[in-house]
Amino acid sequence: MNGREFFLQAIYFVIYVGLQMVFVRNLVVFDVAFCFVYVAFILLLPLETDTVLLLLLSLITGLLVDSFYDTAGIHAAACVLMGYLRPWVIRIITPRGGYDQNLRISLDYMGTEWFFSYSLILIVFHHLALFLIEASQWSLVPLALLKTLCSSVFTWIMLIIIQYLFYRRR
Amino acid sequence: MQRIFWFLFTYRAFILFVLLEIFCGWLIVKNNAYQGAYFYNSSTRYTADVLKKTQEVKDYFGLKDVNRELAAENARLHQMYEQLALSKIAQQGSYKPDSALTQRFKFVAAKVIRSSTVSPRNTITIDKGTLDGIKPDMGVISPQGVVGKITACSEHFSVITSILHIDYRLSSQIKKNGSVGTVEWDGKNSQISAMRYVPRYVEVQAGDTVVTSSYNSVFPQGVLVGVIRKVSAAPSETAYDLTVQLATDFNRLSYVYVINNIYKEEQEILEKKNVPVESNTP
Repeated sequence: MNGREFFLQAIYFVIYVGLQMVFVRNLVVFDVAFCFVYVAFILLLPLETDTVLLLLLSLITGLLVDSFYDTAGIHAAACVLMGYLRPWVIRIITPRGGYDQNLRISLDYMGTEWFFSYSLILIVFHHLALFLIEASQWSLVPLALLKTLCSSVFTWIMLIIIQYLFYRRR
Repeated sequence: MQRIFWFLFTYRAFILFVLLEIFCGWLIVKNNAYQGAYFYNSSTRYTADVLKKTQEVKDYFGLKDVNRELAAENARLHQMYEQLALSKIAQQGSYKPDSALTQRFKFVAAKVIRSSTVSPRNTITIDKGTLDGIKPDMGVISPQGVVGKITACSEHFSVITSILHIDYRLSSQIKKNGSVGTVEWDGKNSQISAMRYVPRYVEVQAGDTVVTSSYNSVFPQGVLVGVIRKVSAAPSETAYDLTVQLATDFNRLSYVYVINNIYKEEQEILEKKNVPVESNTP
């Protein structure tokens, strides 16, 4: 990660986490669909980000979000899990011919099919971990699964909309 | 030795992953214990400042409701004042309560800057802290009814564990006959709670009012909790299964009162000294 790239990612971090804190935090549909659009920061880090760095960044993002939701550790745990699974998912859905060098992850660069499956898989894992940890009781698991389903779709749609609006190649 | 380093290096991602998850697990366990002292939460200064700023914008849209609630509360207090003034005249000469006891509860008004109702463990952040005399374990009520209990404070902010928290047990009683039970939340609907341990021989109907009991030092007796909506009981159980419609609308909470019981410590020390002899339920 060179200097320019680092600067760019720092700006993304501020934008996504700030967006989550100020606006999206209050966005809840029917008490079951939440929007955790801040995960986009972890999803959109450069393709070749080292796993160790990825894990640490995930932890920091999670802890910061936790401090606003008063859920110390829950978002952090889910983010670290997502950060750990990211390289695996990238490897599993490698397109034919492999990846190009220094590729940036976005809808435009990676193609619709790749980006849709990549983001949806990781968002589902993140939300599943998040809501199951939050439930922490067998009687609340069905509700947690419902929340996972609705919130994953919500977050995912939000992520795709942001991709179409702001990440278009000119 | 070299092989150990090689091993650690090859699996560094996995090892770090496990370590970080353990760290997160420790944070979760440490902070979700509802009596436990928080060390990391939204009463932290910078977090609370951001929350306060965003809440200020949201407040403009709720002004109408806040006004209506305050007016309603004014009316209620006015009515109570009249009743008290009347009863005082009638009661002259009989029982005289200890003058210190009649003013044992002090109220501090605070503004809600963050609240949640959708998690199984909901908390609320308010904009008053230790500088205003707020300490952990104080009760919090709203004009509508019970809200919760303070669990963490910084100088200017505090975090409340709301009664919408699956580990919260609120000692309450049915107003008309005084039978005591516990109000617990099941983690699902933010308007409905369950009341347990009310014995079957007590007469209970849907529509009865539930208020806080005198068996705790956090709330004054008689603060509204809710109204019983459904009465049911499993045949083998000795206690009712009561569904309570909560009085407080947690989705539109704007101002709350923190209750400072100035004799709380005195009462608790005394209660710890004495072994309880018998409960006084009928």
